[in-house]
Amino acid sequence: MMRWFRDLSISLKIQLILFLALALPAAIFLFLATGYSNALLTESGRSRIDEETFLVQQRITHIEEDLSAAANLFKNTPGLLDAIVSNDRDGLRTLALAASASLEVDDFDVFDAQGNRLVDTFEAGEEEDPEDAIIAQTLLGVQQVTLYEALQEGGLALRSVATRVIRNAQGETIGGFTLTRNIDDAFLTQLNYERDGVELGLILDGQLVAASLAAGSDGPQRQISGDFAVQPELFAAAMSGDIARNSETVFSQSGTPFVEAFVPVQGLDDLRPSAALVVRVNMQTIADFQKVLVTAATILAVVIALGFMAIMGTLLNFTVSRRIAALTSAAARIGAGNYGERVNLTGRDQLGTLGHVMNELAGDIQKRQADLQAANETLERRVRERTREAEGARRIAEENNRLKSEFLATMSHELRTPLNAIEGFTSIIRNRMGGADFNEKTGRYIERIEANSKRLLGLVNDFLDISRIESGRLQLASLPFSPAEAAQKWASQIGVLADKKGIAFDLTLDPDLPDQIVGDEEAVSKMALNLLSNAIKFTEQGKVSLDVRATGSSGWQITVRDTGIGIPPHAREYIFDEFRQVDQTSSRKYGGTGLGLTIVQKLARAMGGSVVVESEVGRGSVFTLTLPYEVAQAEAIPA
Amino acid sequence: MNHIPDNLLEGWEILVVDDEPDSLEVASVILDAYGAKVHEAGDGAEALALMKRARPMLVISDLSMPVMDGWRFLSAIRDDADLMYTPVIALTAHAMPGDAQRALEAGFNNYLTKPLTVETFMENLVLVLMQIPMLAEHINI
Repeated sequence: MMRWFRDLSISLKIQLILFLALALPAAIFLFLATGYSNALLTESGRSRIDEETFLVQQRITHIEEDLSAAANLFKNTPGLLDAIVSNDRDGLRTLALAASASLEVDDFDVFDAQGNRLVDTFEAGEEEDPEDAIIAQTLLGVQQVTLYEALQEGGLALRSVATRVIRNAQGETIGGFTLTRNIDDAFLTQLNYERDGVELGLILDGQLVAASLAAGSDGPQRQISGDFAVQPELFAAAMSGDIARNSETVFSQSGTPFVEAFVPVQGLDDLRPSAALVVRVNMQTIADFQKVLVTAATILAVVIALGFMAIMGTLLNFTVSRRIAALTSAAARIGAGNYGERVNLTGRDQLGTLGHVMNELAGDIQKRQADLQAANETLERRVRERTREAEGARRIAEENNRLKSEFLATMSHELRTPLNAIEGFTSIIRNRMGGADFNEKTGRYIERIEANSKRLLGLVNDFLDISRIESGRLQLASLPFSPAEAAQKWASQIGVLADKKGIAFDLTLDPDLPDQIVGDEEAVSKMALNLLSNAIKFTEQGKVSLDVRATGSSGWQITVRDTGIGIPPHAREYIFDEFRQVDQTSSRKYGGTGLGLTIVQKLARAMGGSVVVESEVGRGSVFTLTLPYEVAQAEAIPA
Repeated sequence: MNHIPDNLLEGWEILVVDDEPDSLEVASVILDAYGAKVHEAGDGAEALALMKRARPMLVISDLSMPVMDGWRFLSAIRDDADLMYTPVIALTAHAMPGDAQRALEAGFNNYLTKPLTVETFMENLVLVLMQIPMLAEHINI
C-alpha cells in the first residue's frame, strides 16, 4: 500500500493528504453540526412541548372555568327552582335542552334532594350518568368541576362535570344539577384549536380513548393514530402528578418525528387520575430544517474542501509539480547527452536550489565534455601523427629492406654471371670445343684460370650466403627429399676428391633413417659438403668417413670424421667465427675464406639444429651436425 | 667428354634464350659441339618470333630477361596452339631455393642450373632429356 502511495505524483499525494486532513475536521464539523442541530431540535422540541403543555393546561382551566360559568348561569335560570320543587320534568327538560344547546354541554342532569334524576338528556341506557358519589357530594353542598370516568359504548371515556346545588329561599337543599362535557375527539380538537403541529390525545387506563382531529382525505381523522404506542413508564410518571416529558423523539408510522409530553388530568381526590393528556409536537419542520442545515453544511464543506483542494492543487502545480517536471525533463535531456541544456527555475526554495545545482552540474559536465573532446582530439591528432610517422618509418624500413633484398639479389646475379661465363668458356677451351685449341703452356695457364675462377666463385657464394644469413634474408625450402639419397650424392662427390688425394672414404647409412624428410636439401648439402671438403683438405693420409643416422624420432645426425691434423683446443672456440682459421699459415696453406664453418653453423642454427666439433691435434677431428626432420621457414636469424 | 658421344644431339634444332651474350655463346658452343643446330634469342619476344619460323624441338631458356622474362615466355608458348607441346627447359641461377620448384610448377619440363660448364651441362642435359619422352627417342646414344 505504501508503495502505491509512494508512486503517486507529488501533487496528488499532497492533495490526498490534504483531503484526509480536511476530511477529519469536516467529519467532526458535520458530526458537531448534526449534534448541534439535534440538540437544537431537542431543545426547540422541549420548549415547544413546554409551551404547548402550558397552553393545554391553560385551556383546560379555561374550559373548566367556562363550564363553571355555564353552571352558574344555569343555576340562575328563572323557573329552575320551581321546576325542581314541583317536579316538573317536562319543564325541566325544556330548560335543560335549551341550556345544553346554548351552553354547549353534552349532558345535563337535574336531580332532587333525594338524588333522584329528574331530567336526563341522555337516552336511557345509552350512556352513564355521573356517578352517584358525585350527586351525593353535590347534595351535601360540594360545588366543583371535576372529572370522572364513564364506561360507554366503545370503551372508557373521560368527562368533565360541573356540579351545583340548588337551595330555596330558606336555604334548604332542594336539589342540584350537573353539566357534563365529554372529553372526546371534538373536545380535544377544540382544545387544539389553532395549534399547528400539535396533536392531543387522551389516555385513559393506558389506552388512547380520544384524540384531536385533523382534516383527512376521508373526512376528519384522529391525529394520533391507533398504533400509537403508550410508554408505560411515562404514563406512570404522569400519574404520579407531574408532567412527564419524553426525552426521546418518537416517530409516527410515516416517519414524522414528534416530541411528546404526558400531562396528568386532575380529577376527584378519591378518584385518582388515571388519565393523561398526551401532547405531541410535530418536529417535522425542525427536522426538515435540520436536514437542510446539515445538507447545506455538508455541501458547503464539500465545496470549500474541493475549492481548497483545487486552489492547493493549482498552487502545488505551479510551485512544485511544474518545477519538478521542468527539472525532470531537463535532467533527462542532460542525461541523454544534451549538456547545453539548462533548467530555468527561479526561487530560493529547495527546488530552486536543485535547479541551480543541476545547472551547475550540467555546466560542469559540459565543460568536462568539451575538455574531454579537446583532449580526445589532441590525442587523436597525436595518434594520427605518430601513425603517420610510424607509417613513414615503416615504409622507409620496408623500402630499406626491399632495397637490401634487391641489392643482394642483384649482387648475387651480377657477381655470378661473369664468373659463370668464365667457367663456361674455360671449360669449352679445356675441352677444345668450338674451335679452341691450346698447347701445353696455354693449357696450364687455362687450368690456373679455371682454378682461380672456381675459388672466386666459391668465395662469392660464401659471401652471398653469409650476407643472406646475416641480413635475415635466408629462406629455407620445405621440400621432401631422401636423406639417404642426398648422403649418397655427397659421397660420390667427395669420393672422387678422396681418391685423388689417396685418402680412404666411406659412408655409413642408418637403416632407421626415414625415407623422406622435409627440409632444404641444398642447404643441408652445402653444410655436409663443406664439412666433408674440410675433412679432405686437412687430412694428408688416412680416412674420412661420413656417418648419417637418425636420432630418435625427430631428427638426424651427420657426422664427418677425419684423421687429419686436428684442431688445437683454443681454436675450437673460434673456428666457427667469421674469417677465423686455426692460424695464418693454415689459410695460406689450405686456402678457404674462413667462412665455411661459419656458414655451416649459421645454417644449422637457422634450421633449428647445431654443429659441434671434437678434435685431437695430430689424430683428427669429428664434426657432428644435428638437424631436425622438419624445418620451419626461417626468415630471421636466431641469435 | 667421357661417355657422351659427339653426335648426341645430331639433327636437333635447339633454341637457347638468354639475355647474357656470353652465357648464350657458352651454351651454343657446347650444344653445337654435340651436333645440334642452335638458334639464339636475347629475350622472350625474339624467341617467340623465332619459334614460329623455326619450330625447334627443344627450348632452353634463362628466367630473368628483359622485355619478356622466362616465365611469361613459357606461358606464351603454352598458350599457343602450335607451340604448346614444345619441351622447355629453364636455366635457373641458384639464387633462391624453390626457384627450381617454381619452374617445374610453372610448366617448364625441367631445369638446369648455372654455371654451364662442358661437364655439368651435358651430363645434366642428358638426364633431363631422358625424362622427356618426346625427345628421349631422338637422343643418339
